Amino acid sequence: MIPAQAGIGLRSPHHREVLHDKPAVAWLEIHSENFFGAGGPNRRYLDAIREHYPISLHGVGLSLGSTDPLDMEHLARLKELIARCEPGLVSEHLSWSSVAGRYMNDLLPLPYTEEALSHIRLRIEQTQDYLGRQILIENLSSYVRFSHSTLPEWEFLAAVARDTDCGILLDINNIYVSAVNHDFDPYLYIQAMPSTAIREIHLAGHHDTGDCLIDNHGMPVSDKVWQLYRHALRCHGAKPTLIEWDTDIPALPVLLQEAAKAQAIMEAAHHVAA
Amino acid sequence: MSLRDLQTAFMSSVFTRDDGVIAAYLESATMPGSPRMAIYRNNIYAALSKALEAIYPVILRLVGDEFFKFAARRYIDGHPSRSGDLNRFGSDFAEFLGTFKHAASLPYLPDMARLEWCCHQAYSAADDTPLDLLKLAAVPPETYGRLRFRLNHASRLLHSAWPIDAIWRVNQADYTGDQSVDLASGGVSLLLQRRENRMALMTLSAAEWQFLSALNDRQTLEVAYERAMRADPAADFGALLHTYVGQATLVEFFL
Repeated sequence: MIPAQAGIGLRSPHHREVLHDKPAVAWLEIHSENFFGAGGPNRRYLDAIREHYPISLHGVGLSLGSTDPLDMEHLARLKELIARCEPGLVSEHLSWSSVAGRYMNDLLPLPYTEEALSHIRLRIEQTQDYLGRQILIENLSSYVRFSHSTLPEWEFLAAVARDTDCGILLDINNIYVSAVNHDFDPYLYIQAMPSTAIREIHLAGHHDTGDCLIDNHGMPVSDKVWQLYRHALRCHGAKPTLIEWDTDIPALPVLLQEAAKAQAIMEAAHHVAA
Repeated sequence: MSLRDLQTAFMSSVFTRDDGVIAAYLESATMPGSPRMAIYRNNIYAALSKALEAIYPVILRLVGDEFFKFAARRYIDGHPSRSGDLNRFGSDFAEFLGTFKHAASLPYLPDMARLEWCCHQAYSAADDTPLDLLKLAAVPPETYGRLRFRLNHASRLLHSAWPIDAIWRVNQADYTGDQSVDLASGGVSLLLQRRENRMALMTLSAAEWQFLSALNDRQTLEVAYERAMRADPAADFGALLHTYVGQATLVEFFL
């Protein structure tokens, strides 16, 4: 239902314009939690916009990797939202954000250990069982790595997908940010991903502090990330590709231009392959 | 180190600003110039602070960016976020502001925060359809007094000793008129209700406040009317009911 074409992350400053102008973009992604309310303008908007575009739901708050019990109320709201807007894809993160009932509301890295692997496997299975559908798991950008990790992140993620039948949402910018911050080869990471499990790709901008890269979703996709994206398409074929922009959100045409660029790169890659 | 212990140590590092325990488990604790945990700490406080700014835009305008960030930081430390949904963070901000001594010179701030939290909640509350007048007309008149009503999910009642409605209005982003509010003008009773895409604030008379508050507490129409009469002997029963059914404040009734 979500085509292997370029889409954009729909954020509230663009709500009105997108519904009014219906720009030529193949699909839209929204943050699930922003539509958890029982009613009101946001829900009405979602009902209206889904008549015109395929919708993907992207969650940021489930805290799948936490050792706390899963928040069943959060999951219930997600399930209700899924029933209401029938999204093509539903995704969450390979991360945790809460412990002892306190949330940090950020995407925090796991240690890549056997313990963490069996834990998150169980949680993804529990989530997929409850929702009655596959979810995609996104790799995150990180600023620390834990010294007792026994697996590289790409092996951990591939194992999660293999064992739970979840899909992978491959965030190319996150791979690049982490690769620079932790000094690994991002090309190797992408090659190590199982092609069939990848159901979606994310692209976004990052900020270079000079000391490290910060994943701020606040600027155009960098040239290095576009290069990596081409590599991902060569390795895995065309995939639904999303442009995300969450801080210093630009005018809609800027976002659409980035999506058009991703679309053109995807078509060129397909042309070469064919 | 178990996953549980690691997560506990990580959170402790974020909120105590002490990287002592977690540092032993990090592959490299610093980048040239900046400790890596500080990036997480900054991101976490920034995201929670931004969530408060989104829910409390009038408070932000009243106290300014710098003070708001200062207050938000204190609030975040003392009032943990309890959900992965940031729209649920900030429910105790009004109470916090009431005890925050740095804000004591603005005594109406807590009530303004209450108003903004009510608006935030009502804005995404469930949709209601107006009450079916035919159904109401079919009720035998002699049983009217025993009727109880439910208020619209997207409405709230709020009373303040300060003119918070006026302060709220002049601090809306699209307001261009005179910014001055006479704080001595006294308190206000308000009905907040979602209208299409925005929140409407309606000032209530003493009788209207008594009438709606009683119904909101699931008192009978008879009790609600008695209380309205006590506030204002000239209160018109028919007009009150007509108004609040008509504007879909009262959306359901039970006998």
